[in-house]
Formats: sequence, C-alpha cells, structure tokens
Amino acid sequence: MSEITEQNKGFSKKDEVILSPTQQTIIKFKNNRLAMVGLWLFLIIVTVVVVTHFYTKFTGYDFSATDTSIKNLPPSWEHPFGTDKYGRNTVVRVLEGGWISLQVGFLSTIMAVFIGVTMGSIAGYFGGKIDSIIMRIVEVIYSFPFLALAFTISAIFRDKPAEFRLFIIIAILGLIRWTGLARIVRGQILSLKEQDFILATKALGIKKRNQIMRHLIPNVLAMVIVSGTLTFASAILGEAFLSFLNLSVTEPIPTWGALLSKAAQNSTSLRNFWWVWVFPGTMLFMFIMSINLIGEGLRDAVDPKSEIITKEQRKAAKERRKAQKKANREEKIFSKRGGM
Amino acid sequence: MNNKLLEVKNLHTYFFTNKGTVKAVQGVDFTIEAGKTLGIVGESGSGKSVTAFSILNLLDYPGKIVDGEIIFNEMDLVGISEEKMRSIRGNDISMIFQEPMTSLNPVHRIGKQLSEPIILHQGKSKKEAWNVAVELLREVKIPNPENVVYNYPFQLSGGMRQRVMIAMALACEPKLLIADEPTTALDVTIQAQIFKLMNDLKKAYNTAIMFITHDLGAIAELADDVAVMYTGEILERAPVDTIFDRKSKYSHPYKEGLLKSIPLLDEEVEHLDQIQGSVPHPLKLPKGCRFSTRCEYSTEKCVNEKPKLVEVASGHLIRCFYPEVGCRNA
Repeated sequence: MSEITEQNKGFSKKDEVILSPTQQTIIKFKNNRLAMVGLWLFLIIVTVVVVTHFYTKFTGYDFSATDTSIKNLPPSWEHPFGTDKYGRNTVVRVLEGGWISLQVGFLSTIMAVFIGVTMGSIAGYFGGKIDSIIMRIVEVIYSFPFLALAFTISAIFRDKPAEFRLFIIIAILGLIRWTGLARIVRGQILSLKEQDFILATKALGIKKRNQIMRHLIPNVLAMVIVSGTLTFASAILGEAFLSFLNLSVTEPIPTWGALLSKAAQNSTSLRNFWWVWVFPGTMLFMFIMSINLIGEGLRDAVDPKSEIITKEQRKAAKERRKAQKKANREEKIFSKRGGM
Repeated sequence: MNNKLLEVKNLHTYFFTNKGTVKAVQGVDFTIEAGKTLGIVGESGSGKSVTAFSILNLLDYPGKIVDGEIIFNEMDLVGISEEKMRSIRGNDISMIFQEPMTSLNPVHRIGKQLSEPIILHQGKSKKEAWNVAVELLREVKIPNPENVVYNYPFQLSGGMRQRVMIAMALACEPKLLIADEPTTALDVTIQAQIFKLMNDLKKAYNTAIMFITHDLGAIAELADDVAVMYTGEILERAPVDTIFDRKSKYSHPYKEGLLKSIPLLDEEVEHLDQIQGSVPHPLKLPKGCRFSTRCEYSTEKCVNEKPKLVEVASGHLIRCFYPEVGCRNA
C-alpha cells in the first residue's frame, strides 16, 4: 500500500509540514545573523546582571563600604573595572547597575504595552466619539514634556525610600510611553475591523470583547512585539537619563546612569579616571544596541514579505563570490597576456 | 400558514449620511418557509445585502431599520436586545459571505475558528467542539478533515475556504442560512460543487436558505421562490418556474431585460439585448416607478406615479402598471 515512489516523495501526508506564522517568524529570526548576535548579547548581559544581583544579595555585599586606600585605581586583575573615588570596586557596581535598568525596562514596558494595546484596540474598534476621546488623551500625553514631568514628580517624592522611587520611575515611564503603541494598534485595528472575518464573527454572535481579544489583537500582536521591544530600549535609556540627572534611585544603589553622572561631575575625573565612565557607558550602549538589534530582527521576521537567507545559502553565495573573483583575476591575467 | 420561518414585513432601512438619507431598503416584504430557498436577485446597490444585514441586525452606524417587522420564529427581531440577538446570530440564523478569501481569521487554525461558535452556542467543551469541527468539515466534503483542522486559512484554496465558511455557518444547525453571494468569487466548477453541497445540506438539515446573488443561473439552480430587487424595492416575486417562464403572461419589464441579457444555448443570436443606462443614484431616485428611467415601455404615468406590488396571478407579484406582456405601449 504505502509504496513510496520518486514522484510522490515529499508530497505524502507525513512529509507535509504545516508551519504556523509563529514558527515561520522564529525560523526567519534564527537566520538573521545580526539579530542573533543581538539576542546572545542581550541574554549574556541579562544573565550576568541577574547572577550578580542575587550573588550580592545573598552574600550581603555592602555597596556603601568604602576604602580610601584603594581609591581611583585603574583597572587591574584585582579590580577589573578599577575603583571609584571612594575606593569601591566598579565591576560589581556596573554589573549591579543593570538590575535597576532591567526592572525599570521590563515593568514599564509591560505597563506601556498593556495600556497601549487596550486603549488602541478600544479606540480602533469602537471608533466615533470613544475614538476621538482616547486619541485626544493620547495627544495630550504625547505633548507632555517628559523631563519637566519627571523632575516634578521626582521632586515631590524626594524623601521616599529608594524602592518607592523606583516604582515612581516605572510608573512615569509606563504612563508616558504607551501613546505610540496605542496609535499603531488603533491604526491596525481600524483597517482590520473592516475585514470580512470580523463581520463573520459578528454574524456568528461572538461577543465584542472576544472579537477584540481573540480576533483583532492576535492579528496585531506581531507589531506589538516589535514596538514593545523598542519601547523596552527607550525605557532603559529613559531610566539612565533620569539617573544621570539624579532623579532616579539614589545612592548607594548603583545604576548605569548614576555611575555615568558620577564620572561627569568634573572634567578631571572624566579625563584622568576613564574607567569610571567607560565601563557603565559601554554596558549601557551594548545593552540598548542588543535590544535594538533584536527589535530590528523581529521587524524583519514578522514581515511576511521578507526573505529567509539560511546559513547554507549564505555560504553558497560566499563561494560563488569567491569563484567569481578568481575567474575575474584569471581573466585579467589572460587578457594581459593576450595584449602582449 | 404555520410553517413560515421568516416573515419580513414592510422593511425600511435607511442610511443617514452627511449628504442625505440613503433609502437602501424601502418596503420590502417576503416570507421564507422552513426548508425552502428564497433567491434574491438584483444589480449592485439594489439593497439585497442591506436586507440580509437588517435581518441579522448587523447594520453599522449610520444605517438603521426605520420601519417594518422581521418576524423570525414568531419573534420580532426589530428592536430586540443586543444580548438576545447575539444568541440568535450563528445559532438560529447564520450567514455566509461573498469573499471566502478574507472571511477567515488569518491567525487562527481552522479547527479553532470552527469550534468557536460551537463552544459559544452549544456550551460544548473545547475537545468536543474540535471533534464536531472535524465532522463538519467531513460533511462539507473536505478531504482529510483530520489534517485540515490544523491548517491555517492561507493554506486552503478559495473553494475550500468557502466550504469551511459553510461548515462554520452550519455548526449550530441554524434554521435559516443567509448566503450573501457565496459563489461570486469562485469559478464555475467550484460554484457547481458549492450549489450541490448547499442543496444536500438543505435537505439534510431542513434549513431554509436566503440566497442573495446577481447570478440568475445560480437562482435557477437553487431557489424555490425568487424576489427581484431594484433600488431597495421588490419589483417581482414569484416561484422560480414562473420567473424563468419566458412564455408567462405576466412579467416585469426589468426582469424581462435581465433574462434577455443571458445567452441561450438553443438559440443563435447576433447580439445580446441589454438594459439601457445604469441604476439611479440612491440620493436621486426617480419620482414615479423606479425603473421608469430605463424602461423601454415607460409612459407619463410611470414617471409621475408609483406602482404598487400587485398579485397578478396566484403567488406572482409584480410592481408595474402594465404587468401583462403585450399590453404595453412599445
């Protein structure tokens, strides 16, 4: 019965591979070299930061302990990232500094995505007056001067403990950054809801809530993930920015922005003690860059029109180029000889 | 009569736009009996789809049912609460759409979409509904239903998607199925298959079908009764045999024009007749008979007065001052 001939090989039921859109996206992402570099960089930084955080927590590492005998030392085997002007080891402070960034980034992004998607889909689905009201709110928030708002709120809660101030920062970032996402989601849903399949869900008697949650939002999820990744990067940058202005979590808890601001306080330390700012700066740069690379890769991966270039294809292309070059060179030599 | 499943009486649906009120449906009435098919024919913009949407109460702003009754199963659907209407949609009345390519959600598997109304209306568990979905696909003659349930819509052809749509519409064994030009986007061989399928299912479930199309061939194949619509009004209503009887004593000039524009297999003609002009703009409808602007028999009376839908023979209604063939001033 099950006679496999050359012709129907690859066409039988067993060989048929059904790839869901998600699987296709993953395959495309995996074949994007730059995005994978970003992903690994991101994972490494996150792992190191998390491990450091829990290591210092369980060993009771004292971030406020100072030792004037070893102040302002350049990087050495003993102190890989050097020491600051209080004689504190920079390496632990730099790695621990990412913990705050991570917390702020994740939580404020989740908050922004949640608010943005909810507001955007409600505005897009119901349209009319509800849409106008929500979009006016978006415009108002969009035009808030972020810095002035952060200054004011931070000044109000100046005396509160560091953890509380952390949550304030998360709330500020989350409540301000959702507007872009809301606009994207609204635009998408405005066009999606006119499609026949939404009419079909209506004709099947499906509730409005389920029409939005089960049928509209899954269709915009790819866009949301891409945009959310970029929101994540900008939230971390925003936190670093606030820390730099001493508006975020205060000493002795280190953050990348605060470490940078310490170094930038006077030009002497900027010029002479380069290790104080180079390391947190590099960490911040690499982290943001890795997230942006991931975001860029995701954007390509969710785009159904983008092509997949697999490793094998890349190798083949390289071989082809090499062969071409070789052929060109030989031709040149040949023509030279012929000319003579 | 007791077996009237759906009775539409004097239905008026208007769209209140900025430029003026578009009277899309004006005084349409018809009945559908259980297990019978009513075919509604008409040009684009004649109010066929709006009538269907009115029945399911799916009109979006600025559309509104202004007047009339829609009695389904001895219950008036006009002004019913949204909650109650939702329990009827997809359960007692379901609908198939014109475009099978876009009528399925691209991100969900076929099985998931098929089981959704079953879970919703029949309260079955996810697993039971999934099994029902497989059976439904088998019923609409999709090969390998066990595999197709795991497919995404983009993996199916247009004909298969329309079958899935039909399966979805039949999921809760509705009493009335509204088919809004279900075969317009498909080619003829697939059309024939879909017609056969719908006829078989009609017999199996005793489902009444309201079949909307502009394809007279499709009507001849499927319908028991026919209503010809033009600019929101019914111009002629009769059993299918009477409508297509070219030797019938009574007939509406519009329908005559439609029939003349179809080539016959057993007659050789030099060129096909066509109805002059096009459908009048919905905001600038003629004062008298709607068809008077295009009718070759049009008189002074036609332009100034509005004809009523008159029963000229048993079961045969015509909206014309001169329904009798040969008694017009040509």
